[in-house]
Order: sequence, then C-alpha cells, then structure tokens
Amino acid sequence: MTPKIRIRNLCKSFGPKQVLKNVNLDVMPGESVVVLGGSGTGKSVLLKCIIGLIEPDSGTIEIDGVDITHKKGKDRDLLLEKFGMLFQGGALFDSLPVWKNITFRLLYNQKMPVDNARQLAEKTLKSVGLTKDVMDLSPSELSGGMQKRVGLARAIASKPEILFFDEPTTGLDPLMCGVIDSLIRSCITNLGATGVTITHDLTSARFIADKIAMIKEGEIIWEGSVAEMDRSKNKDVYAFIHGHETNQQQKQKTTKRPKVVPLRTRKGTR
Amino acid sequence: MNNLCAISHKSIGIVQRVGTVTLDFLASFGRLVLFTWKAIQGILRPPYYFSELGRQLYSIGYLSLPVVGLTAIFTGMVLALQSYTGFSRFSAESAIATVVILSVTRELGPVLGGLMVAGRVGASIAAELGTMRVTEQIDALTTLNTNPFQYLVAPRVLAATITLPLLVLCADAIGVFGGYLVSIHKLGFNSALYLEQTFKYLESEDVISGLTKAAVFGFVIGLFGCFQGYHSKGGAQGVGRATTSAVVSSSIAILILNYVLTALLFG
Ligand SMILES: Nc1ncnc2c1ncn2[C@@H]1O[C@H](COP(=O)(O)OP(=O)(O)OP(=O)(O)O)[C@@H](O)[C@H]1O
Ligand SMILES: [Mg+2]
Repeated sequence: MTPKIRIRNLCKSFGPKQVLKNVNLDVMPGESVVVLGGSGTGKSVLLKCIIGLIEPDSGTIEIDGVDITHKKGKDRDLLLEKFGMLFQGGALFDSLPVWKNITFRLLYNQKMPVDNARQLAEKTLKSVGLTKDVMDLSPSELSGGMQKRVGLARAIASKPEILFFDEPTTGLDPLMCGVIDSLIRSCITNLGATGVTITHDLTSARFIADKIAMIKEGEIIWEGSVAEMDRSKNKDVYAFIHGHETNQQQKQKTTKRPKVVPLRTRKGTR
Repeated sequence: MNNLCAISHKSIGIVQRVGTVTLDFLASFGRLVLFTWKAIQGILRPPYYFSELGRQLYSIGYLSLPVVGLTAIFTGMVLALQSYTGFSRFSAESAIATVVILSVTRELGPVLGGLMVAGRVGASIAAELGTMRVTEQIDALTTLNTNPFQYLVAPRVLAATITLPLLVLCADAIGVFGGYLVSIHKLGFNSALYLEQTFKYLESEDVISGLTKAAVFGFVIGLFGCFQGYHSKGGAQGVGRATTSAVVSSSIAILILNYVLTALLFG
C-alpha cells in the first residue's frame, strides 16, 4: 500500500541552523501519527514543510505516491484542498467573525451559500464543545482555549483527507483535552482521515496515536506503537515518558541532579 | 609598510561595506519588483473579493477624508496669505486666486494628500498585514486555498489607487475654498472677482495631472504598506519596524515620483 504521506531525507536549515536533518516518515492512509519531541526540535517546521508553507532544502515529500515537494500554483491549490491544519497559535483571522473563520474555505472558495455555511459552523462548533453563542463574536473576544477550539473547528470543517494538528490540547483543561482527543480520534476513525498530530501531552498521544514518532534535534530517533513506546529501552523515549532518565543513566552522570527533572523546563530554554 | 597595510585594510572594509549595502539594496529592490508583479496579477486575476474591496474603500478612502480635508483647507488658507505677502510687493495681488488654485490642483493637493494618506493608511496596512504575518494568519490563509495577494494585497492596493484621486479631488475643492475664505475675509478681496480670477486660467490638464499623480501615489502607498507588512518578521518589534518603513519609504517614493511625473508628463 502506498503511504498517504511519505517523507524521505527531508532537510531544512535557517541560515546556519539546521532544523530538520534527514527526516524519514511514513503515514499510512487512515493512520494517526503523533509526533513527540521537546520544544524547538523542529516539529512545527516539519508540518509546515509537508503542507508547503516552508520549502525544504532537500529531500522529498510524497502524498499518495506523488512527489509534491516543489509543486506550485494550480497543483499546489488542488493539494491544499486535501489538507486541514490547526496552527500552534490558532492563527484565526481577527477581521472575521468566528463562523466565517470556520467556514472560510467553503465560503470563499467553494461558494457555499451563507445559510448552509452558518449551519455547518454551528454543527462544527458543537463538536468542539462550543455553543452557537460564539458564532458572531470576533476571535479576539474569545479565551485562548476557545480560540484553539475554533482553530480546530476550522481545520475539520471542510472534511479534508489529511489533518495536521499542531499542539491541539495545549492550554486546555483536562476535561476539554479529553473532548478534543476523542474528536481527533473520531475524525480519523469515522471520516477515514489521515492525521498527524504534534503534542507534548502523553495522555493525548496514547489516546490519539496509532503510531508515535519521536523527534529530537531535527531527527526522527524512534518510531513505534503506544505499547512499544511504553516498553522501549531507548533512553530518549524513556526520558520523555517518565520525565527523567533511567536509573542507570542517572548513576552514570557525575554532576548531581534532582531525581525528577521535568523534561519541558529542562529543554525549553535550550 | 605598516601604514599601507592599515590603509588597504581599511579600504577593503569600506568596499565590503559598500558591497553589502548595494547587494542588500538590490535584493530588496528585486523583492519589491516581484511583489509588484504578483500584486498586479492579484488585481487582474479572478477570484475577486468584492466585499474585501468594499471594506478597504471605506477604511482607506472614506475614513481618510477628515485628515485630507483638514490638510487641504489650511494649505489653501496659508497659500493665500503667503502669496499675498509676496505679490503685494509688486502689486500683483490679482494673481493670488490663480496661484492658489494652480498650486493646489497641480502640486499641493496630490503631494500633501498623498503624504497624509501614506501616514494614515500606509501605516495601518503595514501593521495589519504584519500582525497577520507574525501570527501566522497569512500562512493559514494559504492553507485554506486563498492566495494572500488576491485576498489581502489586491483589495488594498486597488482601493488606495481608486480612492486617492477622489480624495485629492475633494482636497482641491476644499483647498481652493480655504484660499477663498482668507482672501475674502482677511485680505478684503471682492468675492465675485476672486472667483472669476480663480477659474480664469484653470485648464483641465491642471486638475487631471494632479489626479493622475494621486492615482500613482495611491498605488505606491498601498503597495509599500502591503510589501512591508507581508515581509515583516520578528514579533511586535518587527511589525513596528514594518510600519515605520512603510511610511518612510512610501513618503520618499511619493516625493521622488512627484518630480519624475511632473518633469516627464506635465512639465
Ligand atoms: N521561519 C523561521 N526562521 C528561522 N528559524 C526558524 C523559523 N521557524 C523555525 N525556526 C527555528 O527552527 C527551530 C524549530 O522550530 P519549531 O517551531 O519547529 O519548534 P517546535 O518543535 O515546534 O517547538 P515547540 O514545541 O516549542 O512548538 C527553532 O529553533 C526555531 O528557532
Ligand atoms: Mg511548534
């Protein structure tokens, strides 16, 4: 079976800084892949390369077996219709009300009638746990978590084949995380969409993922299922799951460290 | 020998500096040309976003009217005062009306109007697009199958190009009226005579040349605002820089183009 997304030897540098180094990744149709990794390891850049917002320096990206790495114009346009993306910061259009944000593609590109669009917006809002009261508000009038959910609604409203979620549950309360996780899962199981999700949240990852890919310093260092992840002896994977390194590794260290070092704060400033 | 070395080192440094600056300049000039080309394509090619255009016509055109009007009336007034001071020295007061209308329609209307709009509109376009850039809204637009040049740039550039001549036409009328007010009420001219003098030597070319300039200036203001905003990076600071550059570069471009257009077309 040809993978839905197939990435080979993808490299990207910004100036002297190499962000992606030889990334290889396959995502099968209907599969949900979760990309785990510390802050600043190139996760968002990877998504942007796939979706075509950043042009990679070398390597190839294939969608349905077609090389799309340097596609432009009409071809790129057709391709984009297959994609839905939630940006890390939401990226809602603040000049438009919430409902127009959600139905933007359908309203402006596929000329959907306004009434239908509003209905669809209402339905999609409901599925992300928001009521229709927010329909006519401007995005700046929403809380951070609500913006995230509107962004999510925008990504899934046109029922694209491939969904990209950049940290969908960051900044949400645990209850809402659960709702979003099951929403993502149901988009993939029920709609048959293919999904790539970036997250720091292991609970989410366990729930959403068919496959997990661990990225570190721009390289995919580990791939496998959730069960394999829990059993893995790979030290980076272990550290990520447990928030600290294995006992053996800790003993090898000469410098004294507190026993539990949360990974995020440790890597965050690097 | 040592001295010579130092000098040659120094001159290499200077050459290098000049080289880098030149290259930087050429690079951004190239980007501007490319941007202009894409903007024109965005204007000509469907889809057209009429509701966006309408919004921009309103915010760029209609909302600039007070600023432009205020500029025009005071310009007309001071023009009458100043030319009175000058012309009364050789008893040529009767020329004041003509001077006022010709200066306003040919020069001051388009140039001062353009500069005021560059400050108001150029800045706001750059800030808006810059914010959209740094918050990834422009990226989001692209992923939603919408070309930013068609949805964002084209309506703004087009609206500025259309509305600036209209604004300048208003400014012409208001400026002349300002001159009239001062001449009648302060300098004691006869109203009917002043009006007759005003339109006696006016030719349609005077007005048309001013409006043509205004259209060019409008295009430049819209374009530079979009260009700076679209290419801004680096958070709030970057947006601030983009805004400043938009105003400064479009103002300078207006002054240069004003000379060029006057010399070439309406000399
Ligand atoms: N447009 C850009 N220009 C220059 N450098 C960039 C650009 N985009 C990203 N980078 C750099 O690439 C690196 C990876 O960034 P990226 O946004 O992919 O991190 P991330 O893995 O998504 O982290 P986080 O979990 O914090 O979102 C960062 O060091 C960043 O500085
Ligand atoms: Mg990121």
